[in-house]
Amino acid sequence: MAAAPVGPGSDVVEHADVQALAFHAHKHHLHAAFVPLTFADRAAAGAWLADVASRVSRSGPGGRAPDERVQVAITGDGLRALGLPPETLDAMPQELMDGMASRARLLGDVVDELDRPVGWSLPAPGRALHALLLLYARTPPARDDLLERELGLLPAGVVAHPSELSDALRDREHFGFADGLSQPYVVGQLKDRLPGQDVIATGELLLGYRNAYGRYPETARLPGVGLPGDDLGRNGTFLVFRKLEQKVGAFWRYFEDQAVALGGGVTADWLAARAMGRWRSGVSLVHAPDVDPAPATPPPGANDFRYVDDDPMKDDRHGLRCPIASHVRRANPRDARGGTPAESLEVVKRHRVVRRGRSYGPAVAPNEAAALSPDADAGRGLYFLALGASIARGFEFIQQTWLTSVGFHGTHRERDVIAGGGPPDGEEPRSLTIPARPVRLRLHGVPRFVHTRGGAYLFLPGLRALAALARWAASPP
Amino acid sequence: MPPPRSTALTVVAPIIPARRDALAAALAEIASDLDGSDGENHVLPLGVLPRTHFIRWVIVDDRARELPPVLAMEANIDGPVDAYLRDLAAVAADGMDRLFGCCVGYPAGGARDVLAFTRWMRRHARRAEAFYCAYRDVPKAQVDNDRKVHDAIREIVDARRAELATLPPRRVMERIRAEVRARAAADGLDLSPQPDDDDRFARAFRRTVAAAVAGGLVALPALLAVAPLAAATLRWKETRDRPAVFPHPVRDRSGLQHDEDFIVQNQLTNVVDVKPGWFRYGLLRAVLYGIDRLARTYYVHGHLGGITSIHFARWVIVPDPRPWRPLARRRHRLLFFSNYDASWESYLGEFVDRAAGGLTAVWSNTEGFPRARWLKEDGADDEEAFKNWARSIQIPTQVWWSGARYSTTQNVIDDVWIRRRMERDLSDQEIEAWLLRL
Repeated sequence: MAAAPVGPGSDVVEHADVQALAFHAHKHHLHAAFVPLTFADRAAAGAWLADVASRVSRSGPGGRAPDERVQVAITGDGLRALGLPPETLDAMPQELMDGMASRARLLGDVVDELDRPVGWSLPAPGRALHALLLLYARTPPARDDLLERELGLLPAGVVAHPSELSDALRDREHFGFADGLSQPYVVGQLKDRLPGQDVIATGELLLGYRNAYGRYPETARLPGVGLPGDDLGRNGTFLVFRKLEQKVGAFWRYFEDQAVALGGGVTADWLAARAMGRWRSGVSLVHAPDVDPAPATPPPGANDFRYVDDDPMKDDRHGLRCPIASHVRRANPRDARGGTPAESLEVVKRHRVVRRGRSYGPAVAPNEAAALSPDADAGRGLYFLALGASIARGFEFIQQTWLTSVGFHGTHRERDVIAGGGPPDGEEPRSLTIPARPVRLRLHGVPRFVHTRGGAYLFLPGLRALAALARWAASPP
Repeated sequence: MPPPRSTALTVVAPIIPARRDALAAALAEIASDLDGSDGENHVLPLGVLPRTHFIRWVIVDDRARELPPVLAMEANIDGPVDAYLRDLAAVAADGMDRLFGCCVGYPAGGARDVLAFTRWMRRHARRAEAFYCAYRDVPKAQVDNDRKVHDAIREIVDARRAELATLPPRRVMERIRAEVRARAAADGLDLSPQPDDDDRFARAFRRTVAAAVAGGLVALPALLAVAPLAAATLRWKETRDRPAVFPHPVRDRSGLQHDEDFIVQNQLTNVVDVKPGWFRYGLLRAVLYGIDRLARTYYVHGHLGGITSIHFARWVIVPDPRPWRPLARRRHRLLFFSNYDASWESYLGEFVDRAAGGLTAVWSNTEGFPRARWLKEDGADDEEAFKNWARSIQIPTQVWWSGARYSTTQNVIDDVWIRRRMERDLSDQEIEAWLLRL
């Protein structure tokens, strides 16, 4: 029999027990390093966790943030390596315990005949990935310094893989588009709600709180290490980490070629915006279907829009402004998922994630991208980071049911051409339908611009839980 | 000529215990090469089956190990069962013998003894208590044809887009029509005009409502008399129900997920005991009867109570084969077969999001379901418990074949809608709507 959830009725977030990353994007810490780790020795791993826990950043009210930020997340294999009891491991979500690689086919990644992902370098073949150390600092030297110090503190039994270093945080991803605009507002977060931000329950992000169904999800218990209610989950969340390589040159070359082929004043910018669902500035095509009104920065309210409107001049249910199959519309269909707009918004709120992505590799200006040689068109992309209390209902659902689905909302045999993956190139042409009058336009045989290079599902424990894990691994009761 | 009706054929036959392994091997051989294109499937290449939308074979073992295992075949077909069985005997006699030959009492002459075969199959056919299709009474041949017509239209629009974009809508449609007609003979496309079936279903729905009202009026005194007692009984039973407890997420230990997410659709086979006694059994059948009436007359175009992802689904009751047992100790089992679009997570999510009441009304009459109130309240509202319960009663499906591997329900409905209007005189507004849907 499961113990009653801790603290029903008390939905006041215990920020001091939550790792900062859950509520803070560390936007002032422009430079990040992600260090994959293997626990070669259990006691050493416990000792290291106990040590690093004192440096882990916790959520809290504003003010000047410390110059460094440290977060720690652990994979399903990592929890096993810490020697947690079977009852605890069994109570962790299946997708965490199976690991991201086992879900590659479902996610639309390229797989071999045994469903193993192809083209992954993270973790390196044959190496176990047990934990991820996330380090953030304000400048590259400060980041390198922090990284060096943290690596120096690793005991012999905790082995670091090559570090993954981010590029300086910008508000654009490598294709040149404003990114991260439609973050949800999580009840209990410290920052104010922005216009158009949808409100999701605390329990959609954090374990131990009421979720979108008004329930407290079951969480894993770890007895005998002093956790309140033995609750290992409380104030924790799950982290999806993916390394996505972006072929920026191929992307812009493709859209430039298509624009030339189509003629009639169509530009690469216009076409790429149809695929993305917004202009590079971040302005939605719902607001401005024909030209980008604000090429420089996303204006306030760029995220404040709906697809369905009683006023036919504003309505976009057919996707004549923002194509139904476009990336941002698939990733967050808002009020156009089906049923009434209100029903749709309710359903969509159950499938939202908090994103914490960072780019890696040198930035390239969109107007120079098409000239990149194949050699130079490599080694750049996105560390996709997403947080949520259910990987299956959040990230995987969005990836599988909205982005990768070939029948999303009545589209015909198309996947998201940005992140939808799908079968290997050539097996089934990827296409994008752009609704128009009198007849739609369709891009056919769109190449893959985004290639998954690896990743992991991780548990981002609360501070108490992190200390408890350390205690358990160092000396299980 | 009216179209053939969508038909649910379910055959459930007890397996000879000594033949269970042979049966499993035969099913595995089919599964390794469903349509026989790799030359590995010498049992039953499924591509030859006529008028079949989806078909599956499942070995249903009894987890309590009290009841003999049964082989269930779920076929979604067009037209009468007898004609279909005769066709099966004609094109797949050896395969039928390999599979059903492992079952108790299969005719010695096999499927080549057509009369004995059809009689045996009919004897083991179980009525679907409720049967839903997203495109009711659209025959398989039409699903295929209309998809080809739509594909042809899409190719034409792709190839001629620059030119078409300069024309007024009516001219665009005329151009498309002329080009499709020119291809029709060579590509074997059927463009013959066809009416919409909305009116027919609307009439059937009105008849159903009228019958329900009339029946309700006739039975009103009796209903009023038993209603308080029935309601009290229901609540009393609900408070005493014992929902299954899942202290942690139900692990998929049978590799169910390994078989999922290869094509547009997935399948689901559930088996669960009906709660003992006549009250729950009667209530379950009444609820399913209501769903069946609605599915035949109202939910005929694309959704079942708001769930858009199901192509075909049915509920079948397999009665306890031990009639000598007292009623309270007999185990009637409820089988549920679904052929749905997209992922398990999205399908179950759609259940909870859009139809929690309806499915609680069905499955709260079965063992282990999350606690319900007033038959349809609570229950599946507990999303986590419901998904755990649903995974816990799901069983592996040994052979599953889809005849529409790349089409969602909405795709099929669009294809049919577009084809039906191809050769019609449409208003300007209708033409705009038609073009928007390509």
